[in-house]
Amino acid sequence: MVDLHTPGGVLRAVDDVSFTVQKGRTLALLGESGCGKSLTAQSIVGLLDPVAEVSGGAAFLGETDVLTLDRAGRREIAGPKLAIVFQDALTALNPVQPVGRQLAEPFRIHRGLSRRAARAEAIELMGRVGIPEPAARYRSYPHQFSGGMRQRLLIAMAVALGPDVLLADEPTTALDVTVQAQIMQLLRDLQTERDMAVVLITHDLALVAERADDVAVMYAGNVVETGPVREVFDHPRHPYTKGLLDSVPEHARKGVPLPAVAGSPPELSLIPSGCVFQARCPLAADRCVQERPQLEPAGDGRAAACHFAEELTHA
Amino acid sequence: MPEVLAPPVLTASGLRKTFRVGRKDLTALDGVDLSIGRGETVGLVGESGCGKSTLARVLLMLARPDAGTVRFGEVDPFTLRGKELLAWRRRVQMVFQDPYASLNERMTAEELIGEPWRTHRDAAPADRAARVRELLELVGLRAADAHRYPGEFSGGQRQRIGIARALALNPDLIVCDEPVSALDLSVQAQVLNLLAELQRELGVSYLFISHDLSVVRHVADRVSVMYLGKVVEEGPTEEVFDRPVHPYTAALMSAAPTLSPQEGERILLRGEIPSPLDPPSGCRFRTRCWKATAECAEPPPVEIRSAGHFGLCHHPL
Repeated sequence: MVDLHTPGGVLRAVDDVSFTVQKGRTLALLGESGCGKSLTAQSIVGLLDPVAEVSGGAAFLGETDVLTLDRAGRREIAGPKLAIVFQDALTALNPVQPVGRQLAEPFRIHRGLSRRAARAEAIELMGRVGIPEPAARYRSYPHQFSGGMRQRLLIAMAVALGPDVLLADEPTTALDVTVQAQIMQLLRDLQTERDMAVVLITHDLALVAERADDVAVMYAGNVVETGPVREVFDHPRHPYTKGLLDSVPEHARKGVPLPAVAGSPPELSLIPSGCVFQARCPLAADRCVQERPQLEPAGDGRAAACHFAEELTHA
Repeated sequence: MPEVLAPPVLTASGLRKTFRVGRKDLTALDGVDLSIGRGETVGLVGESGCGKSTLARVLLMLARPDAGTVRFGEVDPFTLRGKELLAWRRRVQMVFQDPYASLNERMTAEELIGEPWRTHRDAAPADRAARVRELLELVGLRAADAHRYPGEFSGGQRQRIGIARALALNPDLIVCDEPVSALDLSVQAQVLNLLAELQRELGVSYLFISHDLSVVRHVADRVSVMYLGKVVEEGPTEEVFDRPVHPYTAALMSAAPTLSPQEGERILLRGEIPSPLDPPSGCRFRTRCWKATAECAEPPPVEIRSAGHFGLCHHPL
């Protein structure tokens, strides 16, 4: 759970979010803006904005609940165990330090390498993520790289110490499609090479279809459906998942209106007490107003928080 | 979709536009042709820096091309000045990408939608308030929303206000610059449906700029693909998507993620788009193209695939 302390009062931005991800696998946290997917990631890596506070829950990395760690404990796992790639590489990189120095830093701090040895490691890593002429670019500053190259540098920093879990928060949203494809391929190669678990945070259904093994669909601070991507996308059990999939124009017939989901996501201050999706749901009934559906495991690795999951399955 | 093209509302030919950047020239448009029929939607795709936005600015008559012509029927508005130019400008309006940045927070919906009439006075209706309410209802809002401020609307509703404002001057053409990319996916479909509905009702034409190929495929009758200031391929949407001529078109389509991914065969381009300050000679795409040969350093020939479908390439697919 994550609460936001705002002038208007305390808002619950992340309410009930549970997921697991295994080594070598990719879980996608899929949702629209404001659903709480980035806050979830930020609380896991301990980078929440001061107005936000984790008010409940746990996040286990192996045996450790990372939410209980103090600053020193955090520092110890940040890099070798857990790392994050942000969406906007220009703000994530230090603009007044050469990129090579920033890349060498984890090796100096965590491995205690000498300046020279850390530099060698950093240059090798720059080459590995596809920066041309890495030794020559070692002293360049972030603004001297293109958006795609900056994203490569950010990925290099994240994987430098071989983390077990890599969180990637919209890592390609700001990039052109041909560059996006290159970056996603790089992430995939690194994941295989280093056997990392990846949590991919995105609003892009197609990216999830291509890149993730499992998916957790979020809406208004809650996970409303989880399961293996192929099965969830082929036979959604939550009306929100179904609505999202239907509104992608990809398979729509030309000249026919797209099956849009009516309305828009609720404001945090106006999330209803029953089902979070009730106001926009074509199946909503009295029960959905009175009782919030829980994420019920169906036994096949899937779960959906909907009173009518069964009906949707057989629809 | 109309097989026989309606008479074009707009024809642009040989557009060139160069900007001075430091000591270098940046050629944003390098001989661009485009025509848009009445009631037609032309999709414009291409990556950042390809000249899409400059083309939009020229068609909106906000930037004067260095060479080439834009024609509305028989008239080239760039030969006009002052009031006469203004009168032509109202024929092309714009829907912006970001419905948060493009609406003044301190103006009500009514003021926003009626603002174009302050510039184009002789196009203002007799009863402005009534016309604003009509426009609000046309875009799926309520007449009672007229006095509300942008902050009281959701992103999708804001975009509807932006669309109503674009319609206020009864334009022939609306340039839609990424009109749904800032919206949540579940809201995108609503706005795309609205644009289609308005086109059916009003016969307005769209130039639809988008990086999202699945959206373009759904809305556009024809597509132009731009790369570094040139249209490298153009044709009816289905033709271009199903039988691309230009390797860049094929690469773009292959790179875009899809809901039903095919295993294997993805064209991964090497490198990134070269700086438009220093574009390659001949075929602009040759530095990233897997089919490039020595002759690609020469300007590419036109490969005509079928009526209205062509690409500029030495080694067409």
